Amino acid sequence: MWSILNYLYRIRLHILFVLYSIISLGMLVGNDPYHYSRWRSTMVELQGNTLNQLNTWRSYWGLRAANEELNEQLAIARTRLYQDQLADSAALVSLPQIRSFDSLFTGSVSTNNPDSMQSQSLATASPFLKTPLIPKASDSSSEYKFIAARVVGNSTIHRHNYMILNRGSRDGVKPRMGVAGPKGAVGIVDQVSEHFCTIITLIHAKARLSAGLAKKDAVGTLFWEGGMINRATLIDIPMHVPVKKGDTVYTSAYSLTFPPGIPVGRVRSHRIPDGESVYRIGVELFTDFRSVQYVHLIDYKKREERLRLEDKIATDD
Amino acid sequence: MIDLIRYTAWLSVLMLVQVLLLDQMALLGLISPYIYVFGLAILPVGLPSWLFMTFAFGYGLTYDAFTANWGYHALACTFLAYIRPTWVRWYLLKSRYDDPGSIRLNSLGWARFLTYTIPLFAIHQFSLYFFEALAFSELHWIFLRSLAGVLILLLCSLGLYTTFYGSAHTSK
Repeated sequence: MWSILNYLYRIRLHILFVLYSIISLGMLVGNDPYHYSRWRSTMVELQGNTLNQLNTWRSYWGLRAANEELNEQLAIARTRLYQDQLADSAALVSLPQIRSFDSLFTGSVSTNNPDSMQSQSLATASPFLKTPLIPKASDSSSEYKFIAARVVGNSTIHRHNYMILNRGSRDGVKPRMGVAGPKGAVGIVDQVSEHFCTIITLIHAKARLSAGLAKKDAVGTLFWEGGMINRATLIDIPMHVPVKKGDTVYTSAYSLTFPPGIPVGRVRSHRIPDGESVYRIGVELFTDFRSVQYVHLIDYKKREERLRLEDKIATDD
Repeated sequence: MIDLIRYTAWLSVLMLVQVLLLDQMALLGLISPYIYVFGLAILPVGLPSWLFMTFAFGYGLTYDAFTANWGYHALACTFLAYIRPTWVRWYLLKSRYDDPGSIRLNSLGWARFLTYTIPLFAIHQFSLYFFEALAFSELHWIFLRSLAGVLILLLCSLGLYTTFYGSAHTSK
C-alpha cells in the first residue's frame, strides 16, 4: 500500500497533468448553460463598464471614419429613394436590397441615450428626404424596431467571438435580437445586463444564420468554420439553384432575428460535395469584424407571436 | 512571502494588460500576443512542479473566464506547465543556471533566454490553436498561426520585459 502511494506521489505531476487536461477538455466541449448564463451577465456588466471607459478615446479618434461611414450610408439611402421615386414603387419594393435599407432607416430608433450620433431617424434628419421612407403596405419593416448601439468590446481571435455593446435591458435589448452593422449582419444578442449586452458574432463557432441568395428561392444555413474572420460557409442550397461567384447572400425571411434582405456577404466559391445534392458555398462576409464601431440592434416585434404559433404546431404534431 | 506577493502582482498586471488592451489589438483579427504566458514562463525555477502546474492551470482558467472560451487557455497552460520542468532540467540546469528567483534576461543572456522561452511559447501556442481547431486537416494553418503567435509574443514579451521588469532587475 505504502509503495503504491509512494509511486503515485512520484508521478503526481503526470496525474495532475491528466486531471487538469481532462477538466479543461470537459469545459472546452460543453458548459452548463445556466451557470454560464449567470456568470456571463455579471462579467458583461463588469467588462462593459471598463471597456466603455477605455473606448472613449478610440471613438474620438475614429469620429472621422464613423462620419464617412454614415455619409456613405446616407448616400446609398438617397440613391435608393431617388430610384424609388423614378421607378415603379411596387416593383422596386419587392427587391431585397430596398427592403433592407428601408428596414434600416425607417424603423423607430431608440433615443434614450443622447450621446449616440445615430440616435435619430435618418428619415427626419435629412433635408433631402422630403418624403420620409414610410413603409409601403407590402413592406414588413414596421415589424422591426432598430436601436442604435456602439461597440465597446470586441474579440476576433478566439473560436467563440463576442462583442459587447453599450445597450442593455434598460434600452429594451432582449436576448436573441439580431444585430446589423453598416455593411451587413453582425450577430445575435446573447447575454443582457442593465447597461450592456454581448453579441455572438457571425464568427462564433456556434453561430448559425438562416440566409439565402438574392432573387433565388433557396434558403440555407450560414456558419463560420474558424480561420479567416471574413469567410463563412453557406450550406443546404439545392443544386438546381444557379449560383455564381459574386452573388450576394442575404438574411432569409425564415429568420426570427433578422428582417429578410439584410446583406451578409458575397459568394466567393461554390461546389457540390461528392454524393450530395446541395451546395457548399464559401461566403466573403461584408462586415469587417475588427473595425465595426456602430451597429443597430433589431427587435422583431412579432417574434413572440411566431414562436407561440410554431410551439402550437409542434405541440399539435 | 514577499516574492509570492510580487509574482502574483506581476501576473495580475499581465492578465489585465492582456484582457483590457492586447485582446483589443488582434493582428489581422487572428493573433493576439498572449503576453500572460510570458509571466508563467519566467516564474522561479525552484517552484515545485505540481504547484507550478496548478498555478498555470488556474491562470489559464482566469483568462478563459474573461474571454468566455472555457478550457482553451487552461489546457494550453497545463501543457506548458507539464513541459517546463523537463525543459528547465534539460536546458537551464544543465548549463548551471542556479538563480532561485524568476528567470532573468541579465542572468541568462539573450541567446539562452530566447532558447529557453521560444519552445515554451511554441508549445502553448500550438496546443492552443490545435485544440481551438481540433482538426488534423488544418495542421498547416495551425503551424502558421503558432509561428506568427510565437514571434509576436516574443517581441511583446521582450519589449515589456526590457521596459519594466528588466530595468527593475538590472538596477539592483
